Amino acid sequence: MPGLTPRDLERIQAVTANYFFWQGLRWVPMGAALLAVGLYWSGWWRVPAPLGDAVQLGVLGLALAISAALGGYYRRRFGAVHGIAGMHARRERIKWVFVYPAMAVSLVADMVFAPPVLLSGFVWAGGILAYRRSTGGGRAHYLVAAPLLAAFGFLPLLGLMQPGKAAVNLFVAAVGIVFIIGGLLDHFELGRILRPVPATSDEAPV
Amino acid sequence: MKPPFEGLAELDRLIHEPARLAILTALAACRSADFLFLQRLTGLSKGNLSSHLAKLEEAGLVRIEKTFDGKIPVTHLSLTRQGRGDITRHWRRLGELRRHTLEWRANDG
Repeated sequence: MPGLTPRDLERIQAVTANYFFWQGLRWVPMGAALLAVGLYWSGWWRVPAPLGDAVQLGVLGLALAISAALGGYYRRRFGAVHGIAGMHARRERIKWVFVYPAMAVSLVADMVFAPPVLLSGFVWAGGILAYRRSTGGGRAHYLVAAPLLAAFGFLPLLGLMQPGKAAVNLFVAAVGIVFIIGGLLDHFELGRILRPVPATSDEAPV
Repeated sequence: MKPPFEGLAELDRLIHEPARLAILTALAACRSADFLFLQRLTGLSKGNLSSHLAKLEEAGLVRIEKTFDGKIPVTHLSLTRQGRGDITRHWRRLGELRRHTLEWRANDG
């Protein structure tokens, strides 16, 4: 293999330490589920009322099952990595203590107080940037997705959607689209870093 | 100020070879990884990767364990305590050399 730059070494370290998060296809079913739920809440996807809750739960359950199955695909196609216990303890602490609660609170605040600017757009944009940074950088598409989500926050102010619950419903669908596109692009980027194995007839591994 | 090139000779060649440095860097970022992951990460053929791993195992830096996932044989690689220490020291040395080179350039220019 050719000479390595410090940047190559950083990338190797980042992808190995955060391999789970770079398995982009795993996020696609979750994105599809968020999109479906957002559209259902918005009334764009009509389901007979008695079946509504069951369909939502079914969609989320199916997404989780497909996402887990895709883990097997990555193990077979790209190999397996076992992480060091506690390596990301600080990230996990910050995520559960600050980031996730802030994201949840912003959604609730947008629904309850219906501000003219959707707070969730900015908070979730920050969450996406924090996610990118804390899981190994790269994936420049999140640098595009974050400002787009923040811009989404201005739609009620511009009169392009009703503030409050209606805006939150569409926002959830928009986050679903970010998950889908972001996941696909993560997958392609991982495929560029973890290149196809050279086809040789040489011997089995050590 | 002395030129930084003298420090290059002190680098451990076993570790500093690009493929082995990539392998050790990846293994330092995890508890263990399998052969396929390292092969895809380095882009090496099976034979080449096996050869590098055998050298690292011989030097006591890497542990190689063979298991089965159902009926499929899987090779798991991990760093030994010595390997983790050596790669950490190697990075530190590289960082110092880089800093030294930048200072030397600044003073020379």
